[in-house]
Amino acid sequence: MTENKLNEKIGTAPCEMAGLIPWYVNGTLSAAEQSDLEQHIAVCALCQREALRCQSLVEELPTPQDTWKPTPAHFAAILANVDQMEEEALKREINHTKAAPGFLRRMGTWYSQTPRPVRWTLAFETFAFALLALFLVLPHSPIQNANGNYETLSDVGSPAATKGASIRLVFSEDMTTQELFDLLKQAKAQIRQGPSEVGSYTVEVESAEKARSLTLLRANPKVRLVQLVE
Amino acid sequence: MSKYVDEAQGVALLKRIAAKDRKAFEAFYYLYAEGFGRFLMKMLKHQEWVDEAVNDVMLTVWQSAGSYDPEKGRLSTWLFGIAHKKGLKLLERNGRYREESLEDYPEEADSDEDGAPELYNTDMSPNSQPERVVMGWELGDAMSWAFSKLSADHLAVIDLCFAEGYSYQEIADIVGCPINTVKTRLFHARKRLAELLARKGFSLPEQVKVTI
Repeated sequence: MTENKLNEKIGTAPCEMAGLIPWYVNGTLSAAEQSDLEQHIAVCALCQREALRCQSLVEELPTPQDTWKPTPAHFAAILANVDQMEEEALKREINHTKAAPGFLRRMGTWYSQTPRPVRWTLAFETFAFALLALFLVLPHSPIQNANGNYETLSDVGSPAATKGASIRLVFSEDMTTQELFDLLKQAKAQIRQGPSEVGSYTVEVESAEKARSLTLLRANPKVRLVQLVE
Repeated sequence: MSKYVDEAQGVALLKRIAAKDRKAFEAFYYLYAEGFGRFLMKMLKHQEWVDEAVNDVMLTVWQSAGSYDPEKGRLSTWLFGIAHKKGLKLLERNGRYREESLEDYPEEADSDEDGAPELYNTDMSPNSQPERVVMGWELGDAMSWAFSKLSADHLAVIDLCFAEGYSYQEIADIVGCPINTVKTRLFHARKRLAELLARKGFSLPEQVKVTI
């Protein structure tokens, strides 16, 4: 009866150190493990047999009939694979760059893929927006005429300086623009202010023409009020 | 391999390979490929498969040379780890991995216990007094046959321990499993080897004198 069979029969506990025997035999245990195991093997029959078996295994290891040796041809094949691998890596890198272009490139690609009407609408909106932004950003000053005395009808609070006589006028409601134009032309008058809240206009005439202008204006049936402003 | 190659020389070459130095790559190939090629030959058993696996290992070295950290282990361990993975992938691809599945050895699947001493109750010596010649076979022939019948996992741990001389920690790093799994796997591998030898009427001799 073998020792193990005897152990099984009498229930003897197997050796806990036996798991390290292969590395004891190949000499890779630490100094402490080696020392502990040597002391143990000296008194443990099971581990002595394990050590003998492992030693036998080392000695009886079969020599491979077929061996493998590196060759220049094999290395050349590896280098060819390296070249191919690097070429593929380069292609992937290029594709990656193409796949992830800059913001403007991506916008351009997206823009070129939109339907034509949408594209034109977007272009117009972008242009309008840019124009508005430019207008808001640029400094601007009021436009003045050559004499520097131009003012708008709404510029009530600060009437332009006058050089001639000012006349306040109130026109009838049925007076047309053309009639107004003709009348002011004949009287050599220019609107300087108005209409006011009560519908009056202030016109300017040359001082030398003041009497004639007043006569003309008062003679017109569609002028309800002619008043010289002092 | 680890027994024959200057580790410092290999590390220096690897640094140059990381900088894409092809001369260093060639020197590295002739320095190391024979070692892990021998390991792969035992594992794969086909010359063309070994050519392919060595090629894959060398490509990984070319790509990942910069990732090797000497603080984490020997260069040969790192290389054998890569070779082992590539070898297993090739076997898997060719439908040859785990012909003898580890499911037959559930204790090995994920052993976290401290060793597996109870496994050593199994008698590994069918013949306590083996004959050197049985039925026209010599022990060496029977060993070769038995090794050819071992699974890739069993063969790897036996080869790494007894032929390549790696520590249990290094073998755990190479095959990518806990130390205790390595111990139990090696036990099962030896047990399986003993069973196979027993089929041919052999056992490993116990007359060898071990210096203790």
